[in-house]
Amino acid sequence: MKKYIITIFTITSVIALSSCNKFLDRKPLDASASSTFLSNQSEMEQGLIGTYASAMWVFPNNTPLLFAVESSTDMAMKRGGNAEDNIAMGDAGPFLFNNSVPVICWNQAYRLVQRANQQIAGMENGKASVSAATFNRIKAEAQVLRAWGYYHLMGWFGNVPYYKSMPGVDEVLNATRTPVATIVADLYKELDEATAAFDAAGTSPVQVLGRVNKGVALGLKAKLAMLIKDYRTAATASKVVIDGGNYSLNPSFQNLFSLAGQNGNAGREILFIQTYPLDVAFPENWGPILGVPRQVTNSQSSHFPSQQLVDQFEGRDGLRIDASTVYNPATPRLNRDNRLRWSVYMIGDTMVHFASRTAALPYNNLRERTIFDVYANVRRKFNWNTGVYDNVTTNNDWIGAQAAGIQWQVSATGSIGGVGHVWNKYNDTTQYTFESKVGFILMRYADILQTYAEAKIELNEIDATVTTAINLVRTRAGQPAIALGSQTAMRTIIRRERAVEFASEGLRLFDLRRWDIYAKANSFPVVGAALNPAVVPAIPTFDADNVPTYSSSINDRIRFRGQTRNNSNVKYRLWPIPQSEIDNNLKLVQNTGW
Amino acid sequence: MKKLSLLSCLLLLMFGSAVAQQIKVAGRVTSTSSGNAAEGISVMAKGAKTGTVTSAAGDYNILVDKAGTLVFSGIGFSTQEVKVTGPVLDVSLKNTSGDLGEVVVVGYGTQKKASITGALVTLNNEALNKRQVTSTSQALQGLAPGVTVQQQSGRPGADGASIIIRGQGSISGSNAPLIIVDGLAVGSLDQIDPNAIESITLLKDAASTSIYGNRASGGVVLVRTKRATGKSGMQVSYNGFVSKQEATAIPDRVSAIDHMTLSNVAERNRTGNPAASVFPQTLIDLYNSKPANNLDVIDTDWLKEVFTNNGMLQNHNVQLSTTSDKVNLFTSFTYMNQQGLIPNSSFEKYDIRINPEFKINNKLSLIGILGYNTNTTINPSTGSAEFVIRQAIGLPAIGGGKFGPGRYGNAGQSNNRNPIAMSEATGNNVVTGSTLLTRFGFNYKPISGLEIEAYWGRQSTNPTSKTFITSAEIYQPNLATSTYSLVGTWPGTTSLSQAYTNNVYTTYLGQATYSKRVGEHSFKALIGAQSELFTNSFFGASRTGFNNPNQPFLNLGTGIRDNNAGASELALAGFFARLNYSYADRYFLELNGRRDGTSRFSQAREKQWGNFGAVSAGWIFTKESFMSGASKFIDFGKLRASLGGNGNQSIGNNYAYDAFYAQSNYANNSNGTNAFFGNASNVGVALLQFANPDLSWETSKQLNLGLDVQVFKNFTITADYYVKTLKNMLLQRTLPQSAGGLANPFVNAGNMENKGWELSINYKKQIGKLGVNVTGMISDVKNTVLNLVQGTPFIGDGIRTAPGQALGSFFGYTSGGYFADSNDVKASPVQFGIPWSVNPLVGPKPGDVKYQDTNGDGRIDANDRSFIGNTFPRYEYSININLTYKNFDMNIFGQGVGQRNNYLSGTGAVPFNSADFAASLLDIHKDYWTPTNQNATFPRLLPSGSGGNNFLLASQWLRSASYFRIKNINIGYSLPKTWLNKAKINNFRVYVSGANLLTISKAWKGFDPEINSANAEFYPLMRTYTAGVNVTF
Repeated sequence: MKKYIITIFTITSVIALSSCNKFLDRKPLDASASSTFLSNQSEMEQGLIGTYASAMWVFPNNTPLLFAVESSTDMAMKRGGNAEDNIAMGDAGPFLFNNSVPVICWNQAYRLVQRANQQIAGMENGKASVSAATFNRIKAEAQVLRAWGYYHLMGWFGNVPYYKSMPGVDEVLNATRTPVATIVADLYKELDEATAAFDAAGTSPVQVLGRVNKGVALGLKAKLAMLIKDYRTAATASKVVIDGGNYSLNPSFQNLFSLAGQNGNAGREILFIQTYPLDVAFPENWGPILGVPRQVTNSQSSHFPSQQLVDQFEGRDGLRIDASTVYNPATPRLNRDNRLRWSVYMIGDTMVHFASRTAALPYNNLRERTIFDVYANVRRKFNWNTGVYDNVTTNNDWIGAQAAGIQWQVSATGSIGGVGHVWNKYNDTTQYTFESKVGFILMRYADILQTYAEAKIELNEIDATVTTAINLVRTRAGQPAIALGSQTAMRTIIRRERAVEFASEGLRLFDLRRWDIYAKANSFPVVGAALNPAVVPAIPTFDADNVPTYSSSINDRIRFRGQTRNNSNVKYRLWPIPQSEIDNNLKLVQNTGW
Repeated sequence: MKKLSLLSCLLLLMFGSAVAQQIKVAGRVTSTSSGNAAEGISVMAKGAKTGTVTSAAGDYNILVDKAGTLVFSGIGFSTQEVKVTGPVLDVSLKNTSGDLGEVVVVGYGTQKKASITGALVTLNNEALNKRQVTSTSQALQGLAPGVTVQQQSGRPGADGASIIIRGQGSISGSNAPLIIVDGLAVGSLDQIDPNAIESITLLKDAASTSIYGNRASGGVVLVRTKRATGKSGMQVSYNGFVSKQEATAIPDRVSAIDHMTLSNVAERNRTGNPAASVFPQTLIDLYNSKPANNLDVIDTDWLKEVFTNNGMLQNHNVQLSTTSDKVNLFTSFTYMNQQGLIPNSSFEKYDIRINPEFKINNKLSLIGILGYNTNTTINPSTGSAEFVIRQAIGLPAIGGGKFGPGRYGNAGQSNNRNPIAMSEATGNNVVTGSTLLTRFGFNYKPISGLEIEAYWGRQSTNPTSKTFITSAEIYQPNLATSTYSLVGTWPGTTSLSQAYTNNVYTTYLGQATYSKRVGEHSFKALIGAQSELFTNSFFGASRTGFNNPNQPFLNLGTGIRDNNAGASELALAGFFARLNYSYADRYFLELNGRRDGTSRFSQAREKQWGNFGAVSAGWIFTKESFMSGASKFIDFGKLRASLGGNGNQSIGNNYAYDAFYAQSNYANNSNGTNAFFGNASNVGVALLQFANPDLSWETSKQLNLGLDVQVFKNFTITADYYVKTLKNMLLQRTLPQSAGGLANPFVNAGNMENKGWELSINYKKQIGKLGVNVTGMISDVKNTVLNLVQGTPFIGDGIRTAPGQALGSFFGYTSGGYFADSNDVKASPVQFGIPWSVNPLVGPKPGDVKYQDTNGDGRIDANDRSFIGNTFPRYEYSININLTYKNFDMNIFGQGVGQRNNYLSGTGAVPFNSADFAASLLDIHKDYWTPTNQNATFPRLLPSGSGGNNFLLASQWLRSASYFRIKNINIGYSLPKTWLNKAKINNFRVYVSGANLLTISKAWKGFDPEINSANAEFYPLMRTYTAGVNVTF
């Protein structure tokens, strides 16, 4: 009997085993195999979207990464104790090797690089099924995105591992750092190839917002050239964009930073932007909400403009504040370059915010109107019923709160409310600040113009094309045109122009490093607006690089957490490579000093 | 696999089996003491050479002369001869030594305890129900040596314990044992109501587990639910209890005045300015002169404000069981309601079980199992209950808590987040889970000794989750008017998200067991096949913008809509066989084998199948004649040895062998695959994981040596020693992020070893009217990683796995006290590149942690880190005392861990910790460094964000978490039978009990030593006081 059973079971098992293979053959139900996918144009486009997805860089949470990084430069500050703050403080932070900002930057940029590598390799599966022009155009977009990743990696870390295809496990565990010059030289070729591909495919210069095209390829080439101070290439590449005539400035500076204005994209000034979806809840742009001061309902301020930034803005007469005849230190917000009020709310400014989803009259008419004040424990709110401003008690930005010990700032951290200035740029009053969908601009035509101008100035080829480029940007803001000047004079102007035009847009770190003034510009006692409105602080003095000094007015100004930044150590010229990268690849050498 | 072919084969067997044409006697053999079926009893006609063996149900049938005599014999029972009087002959055998004759559940069958050659522990219903637990897994703690049961949370609906058998089983794969309920693999033991469990068998060594091959590397937990057996007629019982729960441990906070005073101390330390202050003295004086009024003097006791739920627990269970000639039926119904410590924290469940058995005839019965469980877990929706509690522990007392109904304070937080509002006023997350476990099959005994069983089983679990977020109004005192003004709402948005998940597990099993006895030779052979398929699918949807906070329905959302879905599956197939042989009921040999296939590995590369097997042997040496002289003190003695292997494929990822383009929703810092052009979503794809087509089985090899003895009549001792080696471990190889941030690939690499021993001693005696039953247990296991994949010297950073160390050890700095003064700083190695500076804000200062230069290079940096400990429990022990006296009974159960470390971090370790919120400090932080308190527990006080280097991962924050805890005391009284008989009640017992009543530990004050590494984010374990009743009709 036993034999009988065993025989039957053996036979059954053999039958079962042969069909078992089918039973055990399970492929993902909701994904496609790499061996077959990207085999036609729509699949390639889908892969390309996946590559674009990793160009959405954020830190922390939904805050645009480059906006956050800006708060580690002299132009801005982050509420104390955070990673950005520690970077800004340098030795006094301290800025340690394990700071999370470089880690996030590294991770996100390399994710973009490798997604682009995946895309470029995966497309080979379907090369035969699409036209060469289409294939090359899709590839070109991936190439530009990859170059975008490397541009930032090099700017942040210097020499980095350079992958042009998805590495194998052993490759990535043994990678070494490739010199910046080598990478840039190769990326020039990549971007030239991409430019040609866009031309061949007849790619429109007015692609949908968020995608890259020929203008971005050339603009990026110019920026890469600036990174290695190859001013000739920078000037040439940016000139091609300018001469192409496809782009111009948006007549309205403010429209660049509102959802509706971005959609209109007048003048096609925006070349590259990370836009936010209106059809799904996430991601949102948390940059705007992090700028709303605490005296506004549902506010979250943690990033603030610095006094250094504010004082870069000229008087309306086109002169720096220490030379301007229209600038009055008692009323610093008046008679200034318009870009100041478009970028920064100063004490006394009337602020408008979309502060709440549910209107609670009289103060919330969805839009809340407040007169920015830090000197009294009252909020000055516009009463939509009576048409006058009411004084509403308790003001979370009141600088006397700590001393009185009754406000939220009363933590052991001391003042965390900035230095009397808050961001206005990107504050779109049609957008509920908590759910803002206003895009974060990554490249715009003003940058192309100024890059061209700076390159020509550094080449000492100062001609009318240079002043034209600078003046186009200046006159939009209502500032008087500048005339041809010496290389030194022009250098001062272009550096000031970049500071005021691009405040909070995330270009400052690379600018400071390129100008070799990071250590100097980012070492100062962190002071701001007048501590007492009755005591007018002295106007700062400026050095040849536009770096202000406040030594004569420190005690008359609001002081941020007693901070004094100290970035004199040369190691701060570059960030440290994340420790975990070195832990996992012993061949990777850390930057000097870290 | 063709399940049908297998089943039809089994059916063929049924019809094809030969039926003898002789006079036959059938019957059932039971144990006199327990009334349970006696399995493996040899039944022979007197004088014959061959016979039969009783089945798991105690049944037998045999051919015999009409006037013959049958001899029944087996280990643990005295031999009995019975004259044949008719075709039916039921026999009750007397037990000789303890429960050795009892039958225990083993893999795909049952076995007599005395003949077991592997290492396993069986727990019956009585042992499991000594404690009143809310999750079944908790009940296993301390009951089986070598089984580590750790409860990490007291949160209703999430207070189940992790079960680890014989040490850490895998690096990246699942470490959990396979849980089999009535032959079906289930995800969690906690989904089975403890009242309905007849027994749990914990299989520990390879001999007992390798029959489960593919997933048994981490041991097996076999659960058998109750069936109706024994006496005919109806039995009804009711068990019910009510408990009051409270936290075992919670850190003490500081008062508002302490907070302000110490904040000033911290600010002075930071600035070096002895006049610096954050809070002016005038304010502190005001607080000193006036009682708290929630206006200008605020002293919020956050914990009291948050712990407003009553913590009550009630549990009711009714069981009905009936047996008859044709049908046996067991049903059980349980209702449980558990309230947590905070609002919106509760768990409620209904559990119903129906286990019928239809006896078609003597040979064939149909067996069904049906278990249905539905439960509802409620949690706050704007943050986890643990986060609410961490805030309540950490928030400064000066922050406004609650100013009246619906009026919440801003809590002293910049974002107005308030844990009281979070717990009671900003919506909740309701997870409704339902599990339907069904099984149907037959049991056929065509001829004597042969038993064929086949069944189809299915388990479906359908959790649905509904998360509704609404806003609470936040107020601030207005000192001018002595009223409160609205400052905003939190979180400021409303949203609803719902998700539906469908998990289905289907299995087919066919098996045959044949038992035969020839003279002194007993054989038992098992052969079978099983297929298993797990499918998972889910979809979810959400909307924002809800105007009515009382109507959480998706259709009312006015804002953004989103949705998502996905599916995956996993298939397993296996063939198994077992052969038991024994000679003279004295020498035992067992062979196990299994061939297993999994869809998780590559078919193209032939990586799917693995073979696993084990051999084990046992020897009852007390049966040898040379032991006869020792029979006075030793009643029974058996040596066991086993060696075998198992596999593991539990990597969570069902498709790690290949690269696939997948979609992924946007998430912070991982981007997802959707891009947004022109403010519109565009759905993209990307490769999201590194693939490894060569991935295959992780294997384990285990050697077990065991001894079972009974000495001096009343002592039973079981001891085991084992060495378990894991090979080709499924290891997720960490890649640098420059590889693109893909999910790390799984590789087969690395070996690990667990060496351990287990000892259990039981003493049982009736001394007059006093019954004593005491069990003590102790066990230890040491985990060592032997090697890792080439090129990977270690895995992980702060918690690091490296050869020669225990898995996941702490890798950090060694603290060497504090800098005594500035000269000490100057004379010590420079820490992190920042030398002594007179600037108070720069570099280390007196009172900061001084790290040791472990590599001797004259400076302190990342290279000075070393392995400083781990959190593995060592020397786990327990004592279980059961006493009965007249109608009283008492259980005292204590459990402990001899050696273990806990790591304190976050809000727990860091005064004014700034992660997630601006925190105050805890009472334990008051022991901080000052020039006159150099040996303090904590470094000098510094404000938030300023004490960075003082709180690096370092030996300073590792503290012993060994403990001994009185887990349970239970005192019961059974009403005298004389009273009950009148009311037709069989038994009526009332009891009171308490759990976690006493703890002895050196752990950080306020932190429960049982809960792993403490950052003060936890849901405390519960101390409970219970009153209950058991009634049987």
